[in-house]
Amino acid sequence: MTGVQLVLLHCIPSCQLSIMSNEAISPWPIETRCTCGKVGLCLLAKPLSMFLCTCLDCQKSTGTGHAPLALFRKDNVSVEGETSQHSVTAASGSKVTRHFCPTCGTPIFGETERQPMLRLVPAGIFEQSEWFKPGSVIFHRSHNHWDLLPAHLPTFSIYKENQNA
Amino acid sequence: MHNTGHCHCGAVSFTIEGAPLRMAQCHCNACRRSTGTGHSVQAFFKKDQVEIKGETITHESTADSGNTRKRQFCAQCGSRLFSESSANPVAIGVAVGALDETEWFKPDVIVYNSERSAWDVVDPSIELHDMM
Repeated sequence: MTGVQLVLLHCIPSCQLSIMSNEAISPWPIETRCTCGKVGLCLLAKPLSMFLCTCLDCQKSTGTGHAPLALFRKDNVSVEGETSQHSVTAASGSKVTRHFCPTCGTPIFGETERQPMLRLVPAGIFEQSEWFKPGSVIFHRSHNHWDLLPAHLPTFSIYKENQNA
Repeated sequence: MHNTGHCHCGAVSFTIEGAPLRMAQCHCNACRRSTGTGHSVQAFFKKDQVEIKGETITHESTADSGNTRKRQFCAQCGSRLFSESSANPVAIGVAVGALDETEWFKPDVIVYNSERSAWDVVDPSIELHDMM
């Protein structure tokens, strides 16, 4: 563990406690901070699922072709610092809220009213993200030709079945 | 060539007249973190080609080149919108995801491949650079 990581871990007490109690060899917990450093995020355990989302809302909010997202139980996602939030009614009819750093705009997490016990975390905000292994592409109906996706991934026009995020 | 675009919530909108100077995909750590994705995709224009309406927040940082990089996002919804660099003060980068129509877009170049995440893929037909 490097000195930099030690400093970061002291920033989020829940992450630090979990590190101390984590005896198994595992990448979890994982911590990161936004670009300006004001908001911290700690993931305490592995995600429930991982996917790429090419929906129009993800395109607009990221400014890119798709969002790489990991779905966690809410109690495994710890946020430190103030976030701004923006809510929309998604194509699913559910209210989706995206949280971002008010100073640097880094996206921190998203949540949906339909699944209040879950949080969606963007994989791009982590320095180390070898753990991120998407299993599918959702909302492929709005995918753009210039946005390259891993060829082996199954694509779903809207949601994968049982994928309610 | 005429383009329009807006952020996720619509509080910021913009129009662009004319063709882009350059189109790029960047995998650097700063682009990855600020978008939450594997890379940014931007079309660069001269500033006088782009007219912006609405309030943005600007976050300034120093790139590893030493240049000052300004990134703008919507104050209301956080959508990534524009970027500027002191290396080229007449140019502005527009986040391609914010554009209403993008059929014409294809990156001329992919930069900072050395910082690319293992899970993010690149088009092998596009010119690739380890850094800039």
